[in-house]
Amino acid sequence: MTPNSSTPLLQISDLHVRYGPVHAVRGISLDVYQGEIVTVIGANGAGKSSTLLSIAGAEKLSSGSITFQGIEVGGKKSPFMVSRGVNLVPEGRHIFSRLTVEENLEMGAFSLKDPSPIPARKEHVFATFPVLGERKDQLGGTLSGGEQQMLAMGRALMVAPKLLLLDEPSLGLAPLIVKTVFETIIAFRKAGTTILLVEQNANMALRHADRGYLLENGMIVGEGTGKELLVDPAVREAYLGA
Amino acid sequence: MGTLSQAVINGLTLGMVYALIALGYTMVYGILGMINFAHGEIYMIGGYAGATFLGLWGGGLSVPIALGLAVLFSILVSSLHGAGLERFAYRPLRNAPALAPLISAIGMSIALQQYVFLTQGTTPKPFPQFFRQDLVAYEAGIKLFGGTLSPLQGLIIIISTLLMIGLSLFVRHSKMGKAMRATAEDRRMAGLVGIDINRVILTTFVIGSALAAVAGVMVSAYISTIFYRDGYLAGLKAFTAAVFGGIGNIPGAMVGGVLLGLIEALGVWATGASDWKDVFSFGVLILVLLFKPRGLLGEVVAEKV
Amino acid sequence: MKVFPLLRKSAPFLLLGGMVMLPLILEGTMGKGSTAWVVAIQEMMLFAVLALGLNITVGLSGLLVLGHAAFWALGAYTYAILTVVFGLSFWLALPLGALVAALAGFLLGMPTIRLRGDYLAIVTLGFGEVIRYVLKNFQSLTGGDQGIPGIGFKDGNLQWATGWIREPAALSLRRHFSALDLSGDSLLSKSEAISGGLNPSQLQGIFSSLDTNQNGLSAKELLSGEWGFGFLCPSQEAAWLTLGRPLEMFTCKPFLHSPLHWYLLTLLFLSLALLFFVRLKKSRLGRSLIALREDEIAAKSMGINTTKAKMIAFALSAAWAGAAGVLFAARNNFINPEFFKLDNSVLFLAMAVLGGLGSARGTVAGATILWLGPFLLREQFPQFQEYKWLAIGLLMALMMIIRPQGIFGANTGKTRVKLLSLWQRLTKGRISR
Ligand SMILES: Nc1ncnc2c1ncn2[C@@H]1O[C@H](COP(=O)(O)OP(=O)(O)OP(=O)(O)O)[C@@H](O)[C@H]1O
Ligand SMILES: [Mg+2]
Repeated sequence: MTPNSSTPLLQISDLHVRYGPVHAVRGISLDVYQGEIVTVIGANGAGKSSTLLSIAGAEKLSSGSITFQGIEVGGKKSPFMVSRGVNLVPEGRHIFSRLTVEENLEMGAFSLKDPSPIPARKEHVFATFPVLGERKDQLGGTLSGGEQQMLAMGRALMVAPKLLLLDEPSLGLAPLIVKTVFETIIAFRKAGTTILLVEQNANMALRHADRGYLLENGMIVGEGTGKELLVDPAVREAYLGA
Repeated sequence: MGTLSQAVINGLTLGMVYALIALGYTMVYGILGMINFAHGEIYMIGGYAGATFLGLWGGGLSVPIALGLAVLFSILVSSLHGAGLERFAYRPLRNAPALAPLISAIGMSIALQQYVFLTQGTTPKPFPQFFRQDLVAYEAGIKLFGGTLSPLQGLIIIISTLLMIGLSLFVRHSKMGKAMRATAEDRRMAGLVGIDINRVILTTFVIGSALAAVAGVMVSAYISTIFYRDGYLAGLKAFTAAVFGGIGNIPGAMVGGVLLGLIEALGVWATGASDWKDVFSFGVLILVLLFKPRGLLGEVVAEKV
Repeated sequence: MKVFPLLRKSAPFLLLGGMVMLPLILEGTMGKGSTAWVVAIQEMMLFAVLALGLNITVGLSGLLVLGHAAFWALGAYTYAILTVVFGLSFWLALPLGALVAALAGFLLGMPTIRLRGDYLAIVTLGFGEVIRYVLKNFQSLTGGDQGIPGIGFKDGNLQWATGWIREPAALSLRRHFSALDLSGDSLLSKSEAISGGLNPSQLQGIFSSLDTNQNGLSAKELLSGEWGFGFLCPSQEAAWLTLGRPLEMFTCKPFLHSPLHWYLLTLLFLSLALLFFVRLKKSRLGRSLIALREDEIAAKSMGINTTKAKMIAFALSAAWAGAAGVLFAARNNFINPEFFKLDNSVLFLAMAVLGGLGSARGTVAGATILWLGPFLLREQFPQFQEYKWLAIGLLMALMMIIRPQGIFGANTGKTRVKLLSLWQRLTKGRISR
């Protein structure tokens, strides 16, 4: 996939994240261009979530720079990032379990100053995930894991983000649901959303991604197109169990 | 006093007030997981502000307008204090170990008490008699099963009820109300959907303080004085009410407050030992913790330490 | 190089020695005015014991207790009632008061402690209030608001001990005579009486009459009448001469109500409390308390019975407060519910917080600052008294924000940074999450 603009939508250089003595992210640099699906794969504790959280403004970065649409946004808080069009669907989904499905979606649209597009977007989410429409008055906490994942993604779509950060959306889901999740990701991209996807399910992720990065111990140890990485022997051994 | 129905009326009146104060505890607890020990002081400051307003500026105004303005003024004063507490004493400790904000709250409770003591004097401040004489007239009250509901008691019950209904609607349906519930449940995720956490928490303190201020004005009119020591006991009772109903749960605080008021009044009525009424509420607290630690309406809330 | 560890090891003993000598030094430098200081320091040490006890729950275990004064009250009233009604000895009352308070702590902790930590704060707060109501309203037993006067220090072993102290009589006698500036005649005759030897029945008589005099004996009283025997006991000024024979001091009636007596007794008490606290902190129990303070879930998974550990900590804390109550009632001679107000519970907490939660040295430092500070300022700035509580309250909040580990907590170098950022926040109005 050829990048359709010379400056990346998201550019990260030499990002470091520390939690007290734990140095979780040690100088990551990566680019995401408009319209791409980029995936970051790595083992448990590699620093994937930390990277996404610091992009989304939910975790402090210790040093380094993050630019979004050419503007430095490193260290900005999440409400600012959301207003700029960067949304994170965090690991573990984090549905508001004591709010109804519909209220969860409304919370997704919290940052919109103008509420007029909300009903249409709700309908759009319900069209994408019909099961959510059926359960719109049910409490979020009563949904199944797969439904919660859909709700989490739907919630992020309420603001029509420019960049969607997805942290292990397939975690703990049955293969059939995982397939739906990836189909939805493709659909989002078609609708104009750029996607940065973190996954442990390297096989699925690399098959759907344009490009991928390999993260190990907080550092990038490899990158390439999805197809290249899929056939790379080292990757196959480390991440694909082959 | 004397009859059972009078005890119920008095208990209900008091219970409404406990409920209003308890709401502030429960909302802050729900969103920050901490006991705002200084909340009783916010209530007491509200009472002072109302009485002060009437004493200074109430003179030329008609009674209902003066009372209305006094309530608004006390809401303003209490909210400023509540917001100040959040901003300067609790916000810097938001990610600190659980004990730190509690100790800070205790410190602020003492400091606020003392600051009222230093500025308002050592004697209880009287609620200007002129503004309450019609309100407390039992002759003008409604007779109910041998008891009398004075106009002020009626007013307290009606205003409290309206405020509680208003708060419930606000929390259920308004955008800010939903944001408050979302923030209470998952603060980080609330930030991730674009909610300004600081604003939500500040709003919570302001609403809790405003309710406490109304309670403060009503009680100082009811018992005719306000004193710098009053906040602490009222706070303790209101907290008991909040735990009774299920801490963090808004309808719970309302139910808990009303029940506690009734238990106290009926306890005194049954035993005749009015000196011991504060011991009753403590007994209730212990019994609730023993047998129903999550409170009457408490959900099973995950431990948030 | 080698001296340093030795110095470190011996520091507590040097300090203890210094504290024993302190009243003498004070007397030497400021004469009569020293008594007020001896009293103030004694009170400070007693409060340090209370704050140390509180630090077992708040500091070591991370449980906030806001009714510490209630346990203090239980100890005080236990002794006051038992000694006034039954003449119970101080030394017996000491463990008994501790036991009563610990029992109350146990009963209070049972429904509460397994719940969220902050419920304990509110329950103990309520308990403090209830205890005060009971003390006020249970007139027949507690004297209500009037309290219990004339408690004093009753020592069951008095008679046994007096026989023992006849030996150094002549020495003290001589010193006292010059110090008290009385006529030689009267003294000589008393000393003759003593050196002539008193028989046991006479002793008995003297002591029963002594016991009726609640406030001890003035020097004049001592020297007049039948019983120059009182001179066997050193008075406050001369007590240091007999330091080598502590038993004498603690059993001499005129000495018993002297500030010095209370000073030394409290010093002993505080030393024991400090020793206890430090040993507890290093013990298995102490380590599990700290573990559960840091991370209760992890502590549980390490096999620590968290509820049991917390209960023990809470009961121990209450026990120390109870013992301190016994000492307080005996020293103060009079107690009423006002002493055991919430204010004092908060004061103990402030002492623990200021010095450093979980730190023994810190607690003593906190008690010193918060007790002797106002004492010092009282003379220089009489108005300060009014602002004392305002200052304490603000200090507690400020301490949590800029230096939560207290004065003596480990310095992580963050205090300066925090102060700076606090300043920036206050001036710029920006705040970070
Ligand atoms: N809040 C935190 N406090 C302390 N350490 C943390 C925190 N969050 C993450 N870490 C540590 O940082 C490292 C990276 O964590 P991170 O969650 O980014 O990994 P990950 O790649 O997302 O792993 P996983 O695949 O298991 O989700 C880990 O060692 C983790 O223990
Ligand atoms: Mg992760």
